[in-house]
Amino acid sequence: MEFIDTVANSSIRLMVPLLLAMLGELISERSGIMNVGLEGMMAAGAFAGFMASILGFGLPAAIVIAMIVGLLSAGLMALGTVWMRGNSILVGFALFILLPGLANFILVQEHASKATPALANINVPYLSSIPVIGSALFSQNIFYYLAVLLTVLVWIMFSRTRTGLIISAVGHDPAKAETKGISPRWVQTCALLACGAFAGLGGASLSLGAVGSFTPNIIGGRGFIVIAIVILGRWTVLGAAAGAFLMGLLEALKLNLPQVSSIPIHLLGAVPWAVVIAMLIVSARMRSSAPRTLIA
Amino acid sequence: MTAPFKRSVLMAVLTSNAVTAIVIAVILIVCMFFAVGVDPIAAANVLWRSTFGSLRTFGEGLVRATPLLMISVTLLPSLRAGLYNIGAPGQLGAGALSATVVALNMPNAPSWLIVPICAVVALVAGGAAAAIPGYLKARWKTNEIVSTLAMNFIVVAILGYLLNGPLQSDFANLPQSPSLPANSGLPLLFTGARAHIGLLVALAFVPALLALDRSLVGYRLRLFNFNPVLATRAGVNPKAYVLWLMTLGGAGAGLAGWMQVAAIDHRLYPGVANPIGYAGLFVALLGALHPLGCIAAAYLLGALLYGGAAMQVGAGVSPEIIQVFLGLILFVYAARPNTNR
Repeated sequence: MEFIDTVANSSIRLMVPLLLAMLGELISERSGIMNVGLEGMMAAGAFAGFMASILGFGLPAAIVIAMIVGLLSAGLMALGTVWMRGNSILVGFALFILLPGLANFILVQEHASKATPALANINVPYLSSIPVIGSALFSQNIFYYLAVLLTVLVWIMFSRTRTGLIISAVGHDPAKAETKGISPRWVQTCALLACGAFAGLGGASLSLGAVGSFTPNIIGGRGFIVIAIVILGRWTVLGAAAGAFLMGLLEALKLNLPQVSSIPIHLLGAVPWAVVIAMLIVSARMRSSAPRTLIA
Repeated sequence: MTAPFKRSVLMAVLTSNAVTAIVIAVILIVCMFFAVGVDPIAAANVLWRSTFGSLRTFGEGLVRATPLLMISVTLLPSLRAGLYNIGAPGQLGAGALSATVVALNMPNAPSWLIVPICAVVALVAGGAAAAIPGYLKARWKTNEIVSTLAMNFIVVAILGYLLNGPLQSDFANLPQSPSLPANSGLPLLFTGARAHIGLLVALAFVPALLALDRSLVGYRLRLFNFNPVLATRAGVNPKAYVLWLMTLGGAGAGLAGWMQVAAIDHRLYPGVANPIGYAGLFVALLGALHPLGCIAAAYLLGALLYGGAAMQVGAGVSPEIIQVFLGLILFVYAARPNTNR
């Protein structure tokens, strides 16, 4: 029973960065651009939030700074792909190399190796004492509540608002969208900037929320897992959120299974990636909802 | 991304985006040095001395360039066809792992037997690690970027498991294998430098690729790159091409892995593919997708990788700057209309 409690709690906790970054990637892919640089943008956000925190800014300021830095790094992506018409996959890959490298360079050059205390959990009165799901769903840090709120907002945006429709229209047929007086370039730029802000927030949820410090490999491939999650979720908010939870669950099992079984911990590290490959195969059979201009 | 097949090599190099990209990246790096208070002239001086200063340092550059050249020349055909195989680190790890296992299990075999066997085994293992994403791409059109990347993490997990368990050296608490038998080592090219005959193996692929360009297969590859539908009419089987192009890249990365363990480190460790795995892709792009361009780019990057470490001692610059430099080069290279697929 205690094992289930622990796994439920840590899968929700580990889902948070994936969920936040997923929302950004979803917006960007719905507008027709696959953001391969997501991993780098998360690293930039994680680093910026951490630096702001050890330089004495408060938590709200650190979160905002992480989002701004994520947004600026997405501005590079928009510059390279939307405005200079570069290959989005190569530009994204360049940012995947460049941004973590820059963060590590500044980290080492400035000897910034302090740690900040991990965030306290916020308990929702009464609900947090429900067995099993109580502590998992109602006793997490601030990033969890932000992530849930933003997921609902993005879901409403795509299902109920004109903005969501415009983004999808650009992803399906930019030329036709343009005849309706929409500028595909600006829509894609804004979608990428939003993606960067979400990625920065997701990165900050790792460096500020979970770990309390910045280490060179803090993102650990999550940016790429998120890309697979969006593909599996068939570019819908709810599908991708379910994918994020599945990945969080797998990661939680990886952390907690070795204590109760003899499965080697190193091999468990391969499981999420095997699932990613399986996801790719499954989703290849149901591609009808993919944005039509997306190179994927 | 059509490679300059018809132009002269010199013109191809001078007019390539790669040279422009390097120039812009250098300017940005110099600005960054000023920002963090490092004298760029001193840094450049250290870099120059640590790359061309002596035969030994020149050899160190060659040592690092060898696997980069190996990976990049075998990646070229798939990149030209618009396949982005970024799984070189995993394929390299698979090659290094299989070569290590074979060498450790044949401690008394003579050198003429064990060296080629290790090479072939590594080639097959690396090729197999790339054939999986290649098959998935051919069969179900799965995105090869995500699947090759997933393979990288899977190989790292397998290496981590083996090197902390069955393959771990008895004499170390680190995740690393026992030393390889001396017979499995590669001969050096010259005395006084660590450059090894793997360089000749990698170089041998260059004329092979140039010959391929002139052959029927090369013609079909260009057609496939230019217009897949037309190529199908002309007798190209796109699925087979995807599978074999991916496998070729993996085989090269596997060979690079063999060179790393057999010639340089003489033991296997989890970080065997850092940073050359991803850098191989850069070399291919910087070399303007031409085999001769790859030679220049591989040496440039190999020297930079060695010089970056020297800059830390000589000029107080962290070696992470090399990663920044690589990222900048690729960004400037990629952010142009003619690299659009």
